[in-house]
Amino acid sequence: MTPRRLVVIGASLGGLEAVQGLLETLGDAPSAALLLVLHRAPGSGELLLRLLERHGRVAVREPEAGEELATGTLYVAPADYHLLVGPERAELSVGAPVSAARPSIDVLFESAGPNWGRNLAAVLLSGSSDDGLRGLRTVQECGGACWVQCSNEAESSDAVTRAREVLGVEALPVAGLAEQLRAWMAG
Amino acid sequence: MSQAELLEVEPVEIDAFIGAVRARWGYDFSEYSRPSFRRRVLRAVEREGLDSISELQGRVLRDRHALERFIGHASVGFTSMFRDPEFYRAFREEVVPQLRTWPFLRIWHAGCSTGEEVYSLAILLEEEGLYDRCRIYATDVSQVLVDQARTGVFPLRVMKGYTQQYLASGGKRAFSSWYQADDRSAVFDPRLRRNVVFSVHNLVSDGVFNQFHVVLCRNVLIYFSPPLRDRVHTLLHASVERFGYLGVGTKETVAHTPVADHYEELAGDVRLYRKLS
Repeated sequence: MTPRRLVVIGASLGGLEAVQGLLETLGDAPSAALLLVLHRAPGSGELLLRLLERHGRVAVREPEAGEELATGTLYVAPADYHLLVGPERAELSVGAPVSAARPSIDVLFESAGPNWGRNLAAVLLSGSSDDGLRGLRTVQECGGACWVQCSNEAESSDAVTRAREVLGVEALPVAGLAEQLRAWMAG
Repeated sequence: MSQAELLEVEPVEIDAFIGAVRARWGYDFSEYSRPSFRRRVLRAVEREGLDSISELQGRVLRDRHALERFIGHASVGFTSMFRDPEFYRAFREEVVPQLRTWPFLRIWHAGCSTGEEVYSLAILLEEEGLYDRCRIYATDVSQVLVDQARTGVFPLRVMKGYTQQYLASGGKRAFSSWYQADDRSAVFDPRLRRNVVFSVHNLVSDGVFNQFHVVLCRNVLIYFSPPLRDRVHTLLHASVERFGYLGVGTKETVAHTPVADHYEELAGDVRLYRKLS
């Protein structure tokens, strides 16, 4: 089914457990599609998908270029590609790395904002770089909901701390993030 | 203007930019997939030191160099040599034995960007003893990129990663034997381009120009909307000899395109297809 809402999630290296925690409490996301950028090494493949799949009730896959979005599915940015999103489709790009990252959280968030506006929620998990900050700002400006993982829980947290301080984004532990998202998706 | 208003204006500006570039220069970006194209336009605005898409439009309309810069940046893929080593391994193991049965080989690398994968293919074919009977046509929409590809010069700092990918792809020599290093650059053996023809070709507007035993078009059609992608797949199909091969990016597919039934996919999920009809 075509999703009514979109959730974008960004996490740096070390954020895998947080994503797993999020998926565990999130449920099956019947009205939304989820997209994830997790910083990862080129060549890392199937294992990551299996690790994510085990922890939630959503389907987990790397999208083909131009794949139509479906509800109840988590689309994971493939290694060494940027993941972007339009009104209906996941898009891939081999454009230049952004802040040394490909996939980049900013690239995903900045593409989602204008296309999904108020029907968008963005979650930034543990961040070791600035990646995600610019993107969160765009999501905010477009009327989307934003949350970050609270920094005493995030293993490394520059972007997360700054998102809270600069953008005033609410910070919650993973379980709280999942609850907020569930409520938002049901609303 | 508020952020919200700016965001409302933006799609209008992008449409106007596309229309203006088409009317002035004949390049048609209207069927490029919008999220990536928007990103490229916004980056071009930054790079040119401008404040808006409308300003970029003004400059690109008046200045051919600005147009060339835009097209160069708008179509550049930051690729690497032997990207997706398993693709090149499969090419070596599955495709090369079939290629040996042809006395002369025409190969088209469509969307060669800065040339990393052209030199990868030339190295592979040289190592397999096939290169002397090959002619590789390496094309890109951007003159700037084609010129850069022709030089065969890449930054030295990326060679370590390329070496690993080369070895993982089944490379047979010391990778460093293929280039001369100076302080910053790796200059690839000029003999690798003795059978390469570099030229400009636009997949959106130009037609079939030959038939080939191998066509590689990797991570290029990912920027096209589905209808345009389908049209280009039809063009690529018409450009492949019967029993020749098509290679696309690992996240691309010919499935769901009008020519899907004309190919069989090779084993290993590396997105290599053989044309049957």
